[in-house]
Amino acid sequence: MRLNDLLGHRVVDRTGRDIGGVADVRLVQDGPLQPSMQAAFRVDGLIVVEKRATRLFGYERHVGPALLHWLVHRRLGGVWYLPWEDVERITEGAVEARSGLEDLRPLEETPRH
Amino acid sequence: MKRLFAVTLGILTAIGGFVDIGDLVTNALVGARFGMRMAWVVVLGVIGICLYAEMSGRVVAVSGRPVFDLIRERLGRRTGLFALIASFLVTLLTLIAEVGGVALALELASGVNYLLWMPLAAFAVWLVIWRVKFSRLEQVFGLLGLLLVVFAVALWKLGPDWDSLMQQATNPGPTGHETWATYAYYGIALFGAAMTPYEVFFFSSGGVEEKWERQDLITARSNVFVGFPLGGLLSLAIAGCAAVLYLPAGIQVETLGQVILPAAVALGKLGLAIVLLGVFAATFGAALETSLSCGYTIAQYFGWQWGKFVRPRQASRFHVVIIICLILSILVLMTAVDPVKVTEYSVVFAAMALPLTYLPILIIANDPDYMDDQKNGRVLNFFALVYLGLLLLASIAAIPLMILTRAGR
Amino acid sequence: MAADGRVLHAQLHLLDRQLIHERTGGLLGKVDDVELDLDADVPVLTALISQHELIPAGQIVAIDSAIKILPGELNLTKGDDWAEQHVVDKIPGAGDATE
Repeated sequence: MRLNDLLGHRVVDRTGRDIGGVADVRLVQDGPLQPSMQAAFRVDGLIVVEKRATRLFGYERHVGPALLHWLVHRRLGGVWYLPWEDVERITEGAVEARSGLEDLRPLEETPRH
Repeated sequence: MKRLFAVTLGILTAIGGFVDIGDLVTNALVGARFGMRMAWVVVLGVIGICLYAEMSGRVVAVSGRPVFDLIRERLGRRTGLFALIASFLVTLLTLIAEVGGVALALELASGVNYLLWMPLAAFAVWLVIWRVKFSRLEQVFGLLGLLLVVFAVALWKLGPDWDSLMQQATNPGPTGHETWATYAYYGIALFGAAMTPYEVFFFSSGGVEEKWERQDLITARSNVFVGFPLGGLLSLAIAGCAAVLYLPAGIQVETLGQVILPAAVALGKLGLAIVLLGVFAATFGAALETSLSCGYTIAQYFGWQWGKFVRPRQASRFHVVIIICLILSILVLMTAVDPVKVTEYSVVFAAMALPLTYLPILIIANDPDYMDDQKNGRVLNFFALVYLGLLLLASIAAIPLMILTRAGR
Repeated sequence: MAADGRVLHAQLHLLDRQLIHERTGGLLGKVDDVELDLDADVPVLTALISQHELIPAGQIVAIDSAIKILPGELNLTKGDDWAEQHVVDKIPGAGDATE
C-alpha cells in the first residue's frame, strides 16, 4: 500500500468511534534480512492525531522552538501511537483498531532512537 | 584582500537584497520623501536577514542541503508547490527588472536607448552563467558592486547637516503631506526587500556551489555578518544622498538618473563614472543572483540536478529553466514596461512567499537530526520567532496597503 | 519494548527527501511516495517511488538528510536526458567545466 494513501486514513476503535487520523508510520529497522545484507524496515505502528491534519512538521519529537511546538500541538490535538499488532484491518479510507482510545499511549512515551 | 574574497558570496547576496534596481530607486525615493525616517527599517531588515541567512548557511555547512530542499520537505508537496510558485514569481519579476536595470545603467553611460541594450544585457547574463566559474562571478560582481560605496563618500562630501539627518532617523513617522499609510507601505516594501526569499535561496545554494562543510561554518558566518550590514549601509547612504539633495526641495525621485545624481554633484565626473560602474555591477550581479535562483528553486523543488559545480549538460533542466527565464525577461521588457514598476508588482507575490520561506528554515535549524550539535539556541529562536511574526504581519498588510496607497502615491 | 534497530517515521524521514546517487553524488529526484507491504507476516517497507519509478528497498544505501541509493538499471533523470539532447547539447560549451 502506498504511504500517501495510508496517510489521512481515519482510525476507528472497536466500537466504530472515530479516534483520529493517520499522520505518520513508525518504521524500525529490525525486519527480515534482505539480499542487500541490511535488515528491512518493519512497520511498527501508526501515529494518530486527533484533529484533521497530516503535517506534523516533526514536532511529535519535541524539537524546539517552544512557541511553534505549542502552536502545532494546539492544531493537532492529541498525538497517540497505535502499535501494528493492535490494527485489526485496513479498509477503504479507514484503519480499524482492536483497542479503544483509552488503550493508546501518547506518542511521547514510545522509545526514541 | 584575500579575506575580502572569502566573503564575496555574502556581499553579492546582499547586493540583490539591498541595492538591486528596485532598491536603488526605492531607497532614493524614500530618502527624498521621508529623509532618514526609514533608517530603522533598514536596520531591522539587516538583522532579520542576518539571522536567517546564518541559519541557512549553517544548515548547508552541516547537512549539505539548500533551503528549497527543506521547504518541500517540511511543508510537503502541495504547500511546497504554493511556496515554489510564489517565490519563483517574485524572483522572475525581479530578474526582469534587473535586466532592465542593467540596460538603464548602460543607457545612462552611453546615451543609447535602454531597449536596445536590453537583449544584449540578457545575453551577457546568460553567457556569464554558462561560462564563468561561480566563485569568479561572485568575486567580480560582489566587489565591483561595492563601488556603490561612492554614495557614502558623496554624502560626506555634500557636507550635510548631520544633526538634522540624525534627528530624522530617530523620529520615525511621516512628514510633510505624507500619510501613515504611505509610510507603512514603504516601510513594508523596504523590510520585504531586505528579507526577500531569493537571498536565502542564492546564499544557501551558493554555499553548496562553494562546497561548504562543517569547517566552513566560520566562513559562512563571516559572509553573513560582513555582506548584509554592508548592503544595509549602502542603502542608507543612497537614502541619505537623496535626503540631502531632494528632500528640502520636495523633489520626487522617479528615475535612475536622479538616483545617481548626488554622486555626480558631489564628486564630479569621477563620481559619475564610479557610480555608473557600481550600478551596472550591482544590477548585473542581482540579475545573476535572480536568474540562478530561478533555476535553483525549481530544480531543488523537483530534486533535479542543479548547480554550476557540474558541467552544463549534467544539469540540463536547470540551465533550460534559466534560459527560458532570460528569454521571458526580454519579451516582457520589449513591451517597454518600466523595469522599476515591475518590482512593485512582485510585492504581491513576496507577501505570500515570505512566511512560507522562513518557517521551514527555522524548523530545520532546530532539528537535531539535521543539525547534530549545531541547532539553534534559545536566544536565537526567540528573535527568529519575533521576525517570523513581523514577516507574517508584513505579509498580511502588504496587499491592502498597496491598494490603499495605490502603490505609494 | 526496546527497539534495537534504527527508528524512522516514514513521512518525516522519507517523503519528499532528496535522492542521491551513492557513487557519483548526482541528484536523482525526490521521494514522491513509499510502498509498504502491509499484507505480509512482517509488514515492511518495500520500495521508494520517485517520478513513477519504483526503487526497491534493497537499493537504499543510506538514509540521512538526503537518501543515497544505487539506482542500478533505473533511469531517474529522463527529463535531464531530454533537455540535454534537445537543447543543451546544441549550445557550444555544454560539456565544459566552467573555468
